[in-house]
Amino acid sequence: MLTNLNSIIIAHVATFFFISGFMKVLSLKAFLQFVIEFKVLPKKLSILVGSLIPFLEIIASITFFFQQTWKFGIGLIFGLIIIFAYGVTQAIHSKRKIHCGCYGKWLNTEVDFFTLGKQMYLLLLALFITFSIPLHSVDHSILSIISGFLMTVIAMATHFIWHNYRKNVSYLRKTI
Amino acid sequence: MEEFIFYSIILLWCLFLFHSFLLFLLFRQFGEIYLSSKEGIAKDGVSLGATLPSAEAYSMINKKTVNIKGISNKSSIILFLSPNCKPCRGIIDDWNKTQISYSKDVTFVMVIVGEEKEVFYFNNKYKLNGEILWDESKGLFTRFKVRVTPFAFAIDRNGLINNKGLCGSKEQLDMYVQSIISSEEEGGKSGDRYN
Repeated sequence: MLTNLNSIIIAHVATFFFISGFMKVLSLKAFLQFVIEFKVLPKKLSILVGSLIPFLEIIASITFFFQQTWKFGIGLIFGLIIIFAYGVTQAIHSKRKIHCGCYGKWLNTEVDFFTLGKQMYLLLLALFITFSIPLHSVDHSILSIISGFLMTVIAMATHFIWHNYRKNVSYLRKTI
Repeated sequence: MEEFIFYSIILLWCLFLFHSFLLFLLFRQFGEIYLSSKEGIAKDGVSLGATLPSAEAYSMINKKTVNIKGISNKSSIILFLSPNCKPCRGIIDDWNKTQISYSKDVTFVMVIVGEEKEVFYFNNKYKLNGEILWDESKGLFTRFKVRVTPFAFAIDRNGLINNKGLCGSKEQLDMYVQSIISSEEEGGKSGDRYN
């Protein structure tokens, strides 16, 4: 059972990073602008890091999926989660309203505690895999990949719905 | 088959959590919609029967900061408004006329929130009657729990909230004035009925 669970979580995390990386590549220019708006790094360094992130996400997702390269993949995933969490924390701390660019310009969500919660969720999944994989070998089946992918769709839909909810509430709370 | 059931259960749990989250947001949104409705807004403000909160604002008549508690020992009407709100501008003529009619028995206090320039321009343009306070720091708005303007409070001579609610028409303003006048006639114990 744990093997199957590992397989689903690996497929979930891998598809999550793959889709978000792929969406960023499709709107790279907009994503770079979002990274600059974070103001965590100087502008030139932001452009460099911003250009690398989507490709690193795709590489991390592919390498994490295969048993031979999963250690490299999980290392990259931890690195990316830490970078994202740091950027999000700084943005929340500065109380600036900026776009997170989590999925490029496609799901144009804002940085808030939900974004931070999402990073914590991914971190927990990555930690679970780190401690359970050495004990159990993982064989991916079609069903586990489909399940992992559907979990990713649900997670992204949740983020999108949260974003819409926030928009509606800010509209309703507008001072008359 | 066993494997299929295992994956189905995992996905069903995910969907269950997702739907619970949706329901949670939906109910929260219903709450927000209710708070924005006329009934929700009417429940804004300090509770009926409560004591007039203590807060300071700049008096545009006396040119100094005053505490709203010390403004009058008579019954009073406190109207909160903002220079940018259209219904607030619509009530001013009625406010000035009502103030002239009842100034003997009732103190009329208008609390304006906004930037210095617009508040002073507003005051000069409409030649407002009664005591005019500029709530620069929004301290009065916060203490009186007001979200929407124009919003009025009727305060009896004991400093208790006798009536409150939106005040966008002459009828509403008259209603607040009459409610404190009739409570005075009953012996000024309006707060008792809320205890």
